[in-house]
Amino acid sequence: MNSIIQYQLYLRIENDGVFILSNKQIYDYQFEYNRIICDSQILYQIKDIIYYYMSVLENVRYIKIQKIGEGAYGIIYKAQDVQTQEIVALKKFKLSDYEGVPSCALREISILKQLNHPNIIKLISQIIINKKLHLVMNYYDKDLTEYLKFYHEEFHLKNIIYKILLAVEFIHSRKIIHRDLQPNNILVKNNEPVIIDFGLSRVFSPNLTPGVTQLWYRAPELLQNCHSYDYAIDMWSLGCIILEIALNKPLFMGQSEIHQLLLIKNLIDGDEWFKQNSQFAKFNNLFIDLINKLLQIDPTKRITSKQAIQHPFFQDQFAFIYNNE
Amino acid sequence: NPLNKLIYLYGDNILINYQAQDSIQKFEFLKKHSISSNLRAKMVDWMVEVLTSYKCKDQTFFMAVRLMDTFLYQTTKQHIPQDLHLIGVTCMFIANKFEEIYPIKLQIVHEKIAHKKLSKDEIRDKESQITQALDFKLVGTTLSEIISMTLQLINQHQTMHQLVIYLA
Repeated sequence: MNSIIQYQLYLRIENDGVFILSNKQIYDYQFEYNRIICDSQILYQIKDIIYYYMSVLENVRYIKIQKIGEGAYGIIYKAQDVQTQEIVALKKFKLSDYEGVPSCALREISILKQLNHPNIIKLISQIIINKKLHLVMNYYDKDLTEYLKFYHEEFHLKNIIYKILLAVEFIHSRKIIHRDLQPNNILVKNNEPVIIDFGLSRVFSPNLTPGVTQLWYRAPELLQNCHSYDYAIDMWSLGCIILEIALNKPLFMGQSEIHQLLLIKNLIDGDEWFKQNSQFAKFNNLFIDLINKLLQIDPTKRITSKQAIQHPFFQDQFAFIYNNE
Repeated sequence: NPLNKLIYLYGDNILINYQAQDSIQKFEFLKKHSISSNLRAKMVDWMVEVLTSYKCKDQTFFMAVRLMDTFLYQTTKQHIPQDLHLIGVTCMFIANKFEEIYPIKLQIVHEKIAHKKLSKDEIRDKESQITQALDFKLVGTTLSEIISMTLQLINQHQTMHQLVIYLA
């Protein structure tokens, strides 16, 4: 590659809008998109030139725009595809040096490869940048928590619940457990939900580790340290998520595993627990029935995803979450 | 038994999926390499030995063998018998990371399994080669899974299960 071009590429944009040359590698270079637009018109104009040079360089296909999230296993960036101008999400795995490809990456990629469903995130490709594995996925800007901060029509909410259940049923029928269902892992675009983050999911096998799922959405059998669980743990998380959609706040907000168990036991006491609680008085009977079946302490009594999508709540198009007064 | 419940509910769907995944015929995968079927059999035997001594699950073994076969089928390079050792070790390593809760560390793979004949970098490089050759499509069918599912469907006993797994 021509050295003059490279020299021009290695520039860094500082706050005051001055270009400073730096020796940073091109793919580590973070393009601070927003700041450029507000700070200086010139910088905005020069953006296209930089993109052009970047696309000239080999192997540079995605430009990181900003960091959008960080998990235990990796960092997620918003990035732009130089060739198609499309905005994508890049997931970078942290620990890939010593043990080769990390096991969560192996599982996530191979599982995503075989899940092709409109309500499940699509893996565009996987690339290796700077010896680190990156996943390229579609970009969505809102997750379910942020989505619920605004008012939405009830039929949208019901549609979201139904679509999530459909996606989960699809996952389960491929012998896969997601194991990390929570509102942060459900993205929403145009009132359609998309399930992401298969870093913890795996193909079903008889002996599994109980330390999965975020605490608030963890099923009671996991809290009791059970090693042979099944799909039912996903259904518990779904029950919590669906109630969170209806109540607009998380159901159980435990600080520790014991606290979480206590909260669950306090709320779900006997078969008629939902009748004693004034929070649930405004809900439709069919909806309460669905929730009751999802939030069963005993995993063998809990409804499965297949039964859930056939639940009368979804069959009856006039059944809404709340009672019409 | 969770497996029982799972198969009762989703068995049909899962089997249909397996059929679709398995529709690609993978016979004669040794033909383009100069590896004899005898050598492969030795490798498989050795895998059983290694994986049982590390108390790995049966699925791990079946997966390692399947990865090896698919890799040999899909790879564009021609492999000689000497390559098989590295391929086998790496396939076990990948299968371990995929199936086990606590996978064997690369350090142990390097020292105890490969007896320091393969360097860690070689294993890592091979790993990325294999995963890329398979395009990360690691999930698939093995005999063991079909067997355990069919047996669950017809409700056979545990001993029968072990016998059939052994025969497979």
